[in-house]
Formats: sequence, C-alpha cells, structure tokens
Amino acid sequence: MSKKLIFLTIIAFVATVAITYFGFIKEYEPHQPIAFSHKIHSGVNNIPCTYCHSYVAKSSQPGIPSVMECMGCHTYVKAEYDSNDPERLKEYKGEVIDPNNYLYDNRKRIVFEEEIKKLTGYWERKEPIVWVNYHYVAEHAKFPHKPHIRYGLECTTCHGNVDEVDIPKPIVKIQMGWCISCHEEKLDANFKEIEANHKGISELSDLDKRIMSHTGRIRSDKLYKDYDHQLGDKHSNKDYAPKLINIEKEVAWLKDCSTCHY
Amino acid sequence: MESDNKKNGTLNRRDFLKALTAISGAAVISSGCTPEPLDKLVSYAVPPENVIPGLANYYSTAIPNSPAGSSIVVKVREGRAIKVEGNSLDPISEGASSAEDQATLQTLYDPDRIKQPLSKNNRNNLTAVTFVAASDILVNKINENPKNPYIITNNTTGSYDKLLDSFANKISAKRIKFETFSYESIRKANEISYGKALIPTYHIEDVDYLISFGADFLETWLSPTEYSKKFSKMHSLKGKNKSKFVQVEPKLTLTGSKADEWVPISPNKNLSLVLGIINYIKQNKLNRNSIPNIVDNLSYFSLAKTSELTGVAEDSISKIAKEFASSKSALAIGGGIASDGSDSRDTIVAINLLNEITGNSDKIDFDNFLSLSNCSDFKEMTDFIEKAKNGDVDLVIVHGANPAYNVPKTFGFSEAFEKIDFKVSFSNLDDETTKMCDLVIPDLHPFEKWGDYEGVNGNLMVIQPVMKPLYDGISSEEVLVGLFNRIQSNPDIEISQKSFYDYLQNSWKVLSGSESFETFWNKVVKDGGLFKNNSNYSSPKFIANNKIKFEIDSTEDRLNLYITPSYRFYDGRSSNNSWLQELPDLLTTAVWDSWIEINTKLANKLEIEEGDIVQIESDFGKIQTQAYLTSAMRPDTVSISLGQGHTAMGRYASNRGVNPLDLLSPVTSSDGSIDFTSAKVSISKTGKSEKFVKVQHSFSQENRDIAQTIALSALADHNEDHHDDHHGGHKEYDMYREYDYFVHKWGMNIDLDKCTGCGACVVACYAENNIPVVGKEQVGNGRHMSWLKLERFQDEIKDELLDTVRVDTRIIPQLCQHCENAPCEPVCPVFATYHNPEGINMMVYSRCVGTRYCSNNCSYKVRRFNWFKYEWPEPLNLQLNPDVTVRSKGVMEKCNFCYHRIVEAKDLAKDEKRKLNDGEVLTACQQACSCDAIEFGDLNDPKSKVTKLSKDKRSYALLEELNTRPSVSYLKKIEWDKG
Repeated sequence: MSKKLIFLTIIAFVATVAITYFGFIKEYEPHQPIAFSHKIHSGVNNIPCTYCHSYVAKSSQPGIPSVMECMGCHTYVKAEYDSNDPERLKEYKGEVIDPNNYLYDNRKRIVFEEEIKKLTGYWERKEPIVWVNYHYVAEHAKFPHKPHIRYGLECTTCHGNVDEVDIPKPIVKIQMGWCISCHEEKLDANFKEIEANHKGISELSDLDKRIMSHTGRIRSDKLYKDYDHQLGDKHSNKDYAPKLINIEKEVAWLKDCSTCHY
Repeated sequence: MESDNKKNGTLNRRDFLKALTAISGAAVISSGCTPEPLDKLVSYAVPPENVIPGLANYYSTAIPNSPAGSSIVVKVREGRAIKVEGNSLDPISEGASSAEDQATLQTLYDPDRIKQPLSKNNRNNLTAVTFVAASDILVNKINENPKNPYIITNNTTGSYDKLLDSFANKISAKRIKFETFSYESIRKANEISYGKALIPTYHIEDVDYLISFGADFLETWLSPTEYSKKFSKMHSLKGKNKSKFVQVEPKLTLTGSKADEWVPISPNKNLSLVLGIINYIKQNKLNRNSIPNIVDNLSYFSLAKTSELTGVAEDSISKIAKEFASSKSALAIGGGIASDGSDSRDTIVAINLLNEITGNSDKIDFDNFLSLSNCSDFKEMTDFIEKAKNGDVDLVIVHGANPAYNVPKTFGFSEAFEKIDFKVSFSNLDDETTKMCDLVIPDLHPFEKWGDYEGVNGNLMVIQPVMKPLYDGISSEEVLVGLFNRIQSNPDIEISQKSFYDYLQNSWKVLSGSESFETFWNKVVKDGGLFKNNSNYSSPKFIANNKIKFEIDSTEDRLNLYITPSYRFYDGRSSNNSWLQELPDLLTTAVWDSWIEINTKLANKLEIEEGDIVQIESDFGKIQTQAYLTSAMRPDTVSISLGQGHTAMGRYASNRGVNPLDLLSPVTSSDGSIDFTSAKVSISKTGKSEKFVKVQHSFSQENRDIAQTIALSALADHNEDHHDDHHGGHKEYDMYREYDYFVHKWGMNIDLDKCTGCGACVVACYAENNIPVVGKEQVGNGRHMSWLKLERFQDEIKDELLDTVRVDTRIIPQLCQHCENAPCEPVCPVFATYHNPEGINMMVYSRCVGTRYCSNNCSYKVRRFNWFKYEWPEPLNLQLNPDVTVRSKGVMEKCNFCYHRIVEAKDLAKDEKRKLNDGEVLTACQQACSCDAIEFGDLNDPKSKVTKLSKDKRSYALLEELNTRPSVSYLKKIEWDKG
C-alpha cells in the first residue's frame, strides 16, 4: 500500500467515526418542539410529578399530559410580563429566574410568553405535540412503572433531580446492569431479614447466593452444619437427604429473567 | 503488483479492499457506540374519555357472523381493537367464540379494504369520490325513477332490516335476503310438519341419544358456537353414563369425528334411511305416539330394501331404530347434506315424523327460531336473474352478499347483473359482485358503527363502535338515513330521525319498559344486548297435512359431489383473511388452497395419488384441483369445500383454489332451493401433480398412544383410588432434582372428550400472541408458526363385518407441555430457555441466538423458529398485542401459557392485597374454547380445578415414559364399548 493511500485511509477512518458519532450525538440532544422546562414546573412552581404524569401508579406507562391538560393551567398562566416589572423575577435555589430572559438548558435564551404561545397554537389547531423520547428502556425488556411506584420508589431514584434541570437527561445508562444492581440491593436487604431465621445465609458463597436468589431456595446442608436441620421433612427415614428450604418468595422474582423478558 | 499500481496510478484490488475494510470498520465502531435512534412521544391533543395508555378497555358489541351472529367483548388498547372474546352474558354463546369471531379482527384491519367511495367515470374506470358526491349520485339515480329496483343483502336483522324495508318501500324496490345456506328446506318442511315456516332451535343439551342426518353442527350448521356448548353438555360424562351420538353423512366431518357411531351414506339417500328406521319402529311397535299416515307405501322400506338402497347394513339400521326408540329422550336432526339435496324437504319432514312418533318433538323449539328463517326463497333470486336478463331491472343495491360468487354459475347471475343499468355496492371489499358495480360506497366494519342484531328470535344484541373508523368512513346505515328524505318518490314514507343512531334508539324505545330510556340504553349497550334465555319454550304440535313423496332416482354410475360449507370461510365471505387461510382445515390440515377429497379405494382404482391434480367434470362445468385421499368417506362420493376460488376480493382470497359451485346444474330442488347435490361428476387425472401442502404429514399414531381413549365400562369399573400418579413417574429413582414451587405452579388440563377440534383456540392464540402468518410455501416447508396445533390422528380400523374401514379420529391440542424435566432447557447454550420459579418453561427472546438445539431436543415438537422477519402488511400491524414481544428473524418461540396474562392478574391481586383466585387467569385458548375443554390454573393449590382434573382417573401425560413430567395433562376421550 502506498503511503498516500494509507494516509487517505486514516483520514477516511477518522472522518467516518466523527461524522457518525457527531451526527448521532446531535440527534441525541433532544430538540423538543416547545422549550418545556421541568425545572420551572417541578422546581420553581412545585408541581408534583403525578399532576402531569398521572397514570404512573395505574399503568405500565406514566403518561404524558395532553395539550388539553396543559391548557388547563396555561389558559390562565400566560407569563405576559413587562420587562420593567420587577415582580416578574423569582428566586429559586439562589438563582434568579427571569421569564423574559431565561437561559434554557444552558443552550439558548427563551421568553416564557413565546413558548406558551406555541402551546396555545397547538391547542387552537387541536394538534398533538410530538415530543422526543430520550428516556426509555429497550424494547425487549418490559418495564412497568406501576409496581415500582407501588413498592414505594421515588421518581428521583431513576429520573434524578428533575426539579433542578430543564431537560432531565438520564442519570444512568438504562441497561440491564443498572436494573439488576438495584434489584440486588433489594435482595441483600431481603437476605438480612431472612437471616433472622436462617443464620447461615451471610456465610454463603457468592455462587450459592446467586443460585438462591435465582431459584428462591437453598439446600439445607449449605445453611446448616448440624444433622438435624439438614434432614428434610419429606425424607424423615434413615436416608440422608438434604431438604430444600424456601427462602422468600419475593426473592426469586427479583432476578428472574421472566420478570422483565417475555 | 506494486509496480503495476505505480504505473497505472490506480488502486489495485487488494489495496482497495484494505481501505474499504478500514472505512467500514470505522462505521461499525462508531455506530456501535452511538445511542439508539430516538423515539417519538406523541401527546393527545384532547384526551379520549376513559383511556389510560397501557391499560385495555373492553367493550361489548356483536358481529353478524355466519349464520346466527355472535355477542362478543372486544379488547381495545389505545383506541385499537386487538382481541375478540366471547360475551359471557349472552345465554346462547355463554362466553365462547368461534374461529371466525376471533378472526374478525383481520377483516377489520384487512389491507384490501376499500377506503373511499368509488364511482365509474366516462372511461368505465372506478375512481375515488367523496361520500357526499357518492350519495348525490345515488339520489339522482333513484330520482330518475328506475324500473324494478332491487336490494340484495345477506340475512339482515333488527333495525337495519327495518330501515331497509322502509327504504325499499320508498323507492318501490324488491328485497332479496340471500344466503347461500338459507336452509330453505328445513323451513318449508317445518311448515308442513308443524305449520311453522321457521328454523327452530334444537335442544340437544339434555338428550340421551342424538342422531344427526348430515347436520355438521360443530362446524357450520345453524349456530356452531351454541351447538358446541350444547353438545359438550350433552356428550360429557354424567356420573357413569354418557349420551350417545350417531352421525349419518357421506364424508367424515368434524361433527362426525366426535360421533360414537358414524354411518356413511350417499347424498340423497337420507330419506330412504329415515323411512327405513320409521318402518322398523312401526313394525316392531316401538313407537310412543301413533304414526300418521303421511307416507305412501312405508312398508316398502323393509330392512333389506333400506339396506340395499342406502348401503347401510341391516344390523346397523335396526340397532339405530331400537336405540332411538327406546331412549328416554332422543332427538333426530337433519341438516347439511340432508337439507341441501333434491328431496331435502321430504327428508326433513320424515325426520320430524321420526321425532314425533317416538315422542321427541318437544325438543324442537319454535319460540326461539333463528332469524335465518326470514331469508328469501331462492326462487326470488332466480326471478331477479330472469328479469335482469331481459333488461327489466334498472337499479340494484347490493350489501353484505356476494351473489356473483355464491349463486351457482349456471344460473347466469353475472351475465344478468351486467345488463343492469346502475349497480351499487355497499361492500368494503372489492369482491366479485362489487367489481361489476358502477358505484361503491364502502361500509364500515361492525367494530366501527352502531347497529343491532337478532340472530335468535328475541335475543337482541347491540352493535356499538369500539373504535374510531380506520378510514374516516360512514356506515351504510348512516348513508341510507342521510339520503332517505331526499328521495322524491313516495313522499308519505319518510323517517324523522337525522342519524341512524337516533333511528336505532327509537326502535329500542319500546323495550325500555318502566325504566328511563337512558338508563335502559346504557345498560344494554354495556351488557352487549338484551338477552333472552332460550330454555323456556313450548313444544310444537305436529300436524300432518302433506304426503311425503318418494322417488328412487335413476342409477347413475358417475360420482356424487358433496359440497360442504367451509368451517373457515363459511360460504366464502371470510376468505380474505390470512389467519383463516392459515388455520389448518380441521380434518385434512390443508391450508391456503382447495382440494377434492376422494375415497382411498376409489383413488387406487383410478391411480390417483395425494397431490395429483385431477379434473372434475359435470354436465355443466369443469374444475381442476388437487386430490386428497381419505378412507373416511363413501366411495361413490367426492367432496369439495366451499370458500376458495375467488376471482377477486383481495390478496389472500383471489386466485386461490376452485369454486365447486361452478359444477352445479341450473335445476333447483323440489322445494325451489339450491340443490347442492345436483351435479354428478366424473374425475380424471391430468397428469400434473403438486405437493399437497398440509400442516401434519402423518395421521398415524405409530402405536405411541398419544391421543388416548378409555372405554366407558372401564371407567365405571375403575376404583376411585386406583390411579397412576403420572406426576410421580419413577419418583424414587429420578435423577432429576425436585422443584419446589413456593407460590404457584401453573398447569393446564385438556379434556379430549370435550374438545371438538374446532380451532377457535388456534386463532385466539394467533391474535393474542402476535403469531405471524407465513403463507402456503413456508407451510409446505414445515415452517408453520402456530404455538397451538390441533393434531389429528386417524388410525384405520378394518371392520370385517361390513367390509369397510372405520376411521378412528382423535384430535389432540398440542402446545408446549412446560415439562419439569424439559429436554429443551439443558441444551440451550445461552440459557435463553429456562424453568421459571412458577414452573413455566420461559423463552427469553433477546437472549436466543437461534441454534435450534431446543427444538431438536423437544419431545413434543412444539417449538417454532422464525426463519424470516415476518411482516404484517399495513394496517394489520395495528392488531398486534402491545403486551407481547414481536419476535424477529432467528429467534425461537413457543407457548408461554399467556405469561403476560398471568403477570396482569398477579398485578391486580397485588393492588388489591389478596391472593390470586382460582380461575382468575384465563389463557387465550381457554377463553375461546366453546366446549370448556381447557382448564388452566395453579397445580400448587390442591383445591384448584386444574389440580383436581389432573388427578382424575382419565388424566394422563403425553409420552409419559420419557419422564419429562409435563405441566399439561390430558383427559382421555371416552369411547363406547364395541358391540
């Protein structure tokens, strides 16, 4: 290969990587049709998450508000402020919020009134707003919101401090490792509870713990060294047969494949 | 090489490839690192009422499916109908549904639906117009006072029927309610016997002995879902006894396969047999009521003579006669071939007589007659054809019927229809009749419009829209109401309502009684109708005012042609439906095509083999189709089922198979109805042969005892505690570990005695689990994707006495057995299939790499592999169930006990802080089953139904000797003892 060709190839290589990478990154930066700020709604005005995402405790999907629901407030809240009016300014966590000159997402300056006018336009045309979805779980995994809310998780656990940013970007990479790490924490907590009844659990090997968490049961000889405990109820004759101890029904599900993949 | 390169100053091949590799490598690296492309989140502008994204809504409605209509509940997700379920409030179907009901979803999302009205322009092409323009064209035409206008529909009922009646009066038109199978002979025979020209409900549920002459009531006859339920009640084990069922027919149908005794008989010989039975009863004085003298020369039908005429053995006739007359409660019904032939009216009169003299007329119920009784006589159709041929008809409106396909060709419907000046069709499919029309105003699907339906007299169902119309259309009802008052003729006839919805409500107002109409209406819409239990009725009075005529038809050496309505397509109206096309035919397991069934002996004589293309020729036409050989039919008869052979209608129906009606003669039967037996045919080989595409290749059990039976006497002798613990197998020496299930262990039980093999479960599974349709070629390659397969085994048993071959048909639904020692699990290299904590053999699609080891190792061959990325042509994709993953190419799949339904039910129970109840989780197949053959539940719960059934003495596991320990158990089919 000539030097010239090698040089050209390297240039092409770098260019391809750059174009694809920046091309995608650019798209990944969500460009929403309206400069909607979570910080202003959830933080400054202290609106609870479930006011807009109202199905989160009922359905697998939290739901996004319809244009009509937005207009429920914005028929009255129009942010038509005179730039000389000092009362327009609000303070939030040491920052002064100016509705007529607000730095949105550290990217651009917006005027609230204009953004609300965009919304009113959608409402007058009865047109749905097409938002960009940048916070989702891969399609081959089922992630229902409902059971997580029922368990008592806070929105912030996965979505971060929504009230501090305009566009809440994913605080983590939403991949299986992250799901599992959280489920493992719950498992450990469960193990501690179970330890009250079965002392041997903390001494189990990692492999045994994994088997136990997957199957929800453990052989008695792994937990107990004494013969009496090892004997199973079903095999109370002279044969040596360790029984299987059911640990905790919830434990098994936390890391079972079919919990999320079916 | 180097020098070459320098010399020319161009790239040589090797360097080019190097550079290309580097660049494409870069593309791969960078695309691997970048996030997935972004999705869209679309908000509602105005949110629809009661819709929560992610949760399903259920609406009850009805579909005027053939022939008695079905009350159903439709599951709707985010404004799209995705599943049909039976309505448990309807006393007729009791929550069951048929395969056709399930497949209605595909007629809703039919990719070939006409989206807009079409009108013929100057160049004779159909071009799109608006609904306003289309109704203007129609109004103008009607106001030109066309002579002899006609309105041809299928069997319409309820408010729409009333509207059409007044519309016909308004434009002075004649109405024809045309159904291919209108059972005109039954109606006419009942007029003779009972003075009631109606099609009754037969109460077969309580009889001890049922004999059916040709009535295929589990597949197509009258109201199959209803009769499946009733048959299941009648034929199930009662204590230690069981009712007996005898089927008399030329070819084994599904109903025949469930019979305890199957009597093959040629078409047109039913009358002789019935008269023979009556004569035997008379001579042996077995009758309970006196025998009216309506048969001349009854004594002619001695045992010997009847046997000679019908080919049924003397012993057989006398046995049937004796058992029928001595049973406490017996019933004879006639339909199908017995009501479609040339002497069918007299046959039914004779059957009525048989019921009367044995005191069994009280099971015939004329209070709950079928609305099918209101169909027009076929004579009106022939009159219409005659008039149209002479150019005396200027306007015709067609809706719901497809006479160009369904009227036998020799009657010349199409030629006559062509001569009509202006032809309007309200069909939303471009079928044979619509193709010839000048104006097409597409109707909406029943899921998109208001209406009502009355399949059985007094049992009123409401049709309510469950979703917004797919293509912003207007229903035909609405179009008619809209143009009604714009018609100039007969100004005294008009309707005061502005819309069909008002018209509908108005006609329901009389029913509301003391309640306020609004409360009443909301209730009936919610329930799906105003239902009537049909168990109360008065028994009819037999009058004998007409003699039965009997003619012995001339001996004919050609073959009888037996045309059967298709279980899947009925008379061809639902042929453009890919689920139904791919649903294996119930007894042959053929898909996507037509075939002719020929007796094996006859075929051997003619040297015809399966798959040979044969020519079938009658005096009036000839068709060519593939041969299928079976021993379960008369050697003097060949059979073709109706439904295929469309020349238009859509991508799935057109140019597929043949239409056997092309062979019929233009002579009607003695009562004026279509004579489906009128063609005598000869068959000959064409020399061509093709692979006969069917799902199951061998019908033999090869002595493996897969579908097991148990004799009734053996069942009675069995001690209660004598039962092989099949779940134990070889417990003591088992090398596999024991599973402990802490909460649930899901299991299923299938009763082979109740299962009729109707296939509703198969289609329900397709709908629920997003199973792709693969087409004829791929089925031929063995790539059928159905998770639930009805396997039929037809072992031939030689009957030396009668010198015939008896076919022992057993049908067994096969699905993943969810084995505890599953052979598929240990061979998966990536742990994509594994045993979950509740005993379900799960399949993790995202893990599967497609080695297919699991399928090779599966003992039951229930795993399916995605050889391709199967597509759902738009808008069929809207039907997909969002709760179930759509699998793509290279992934293995199989039944998972409707796992998403279990998750849903558990979620609900958790919300309500309680345990799951038994029967709370219904699998899709269980829900669709019309004979309650499938039971699903928790095997860990000793009180659950499924646990009890799995410990029943009839229970067994498939291929038990393999020690796979399935979670699915079967109950053996009960057989009557021989002799």
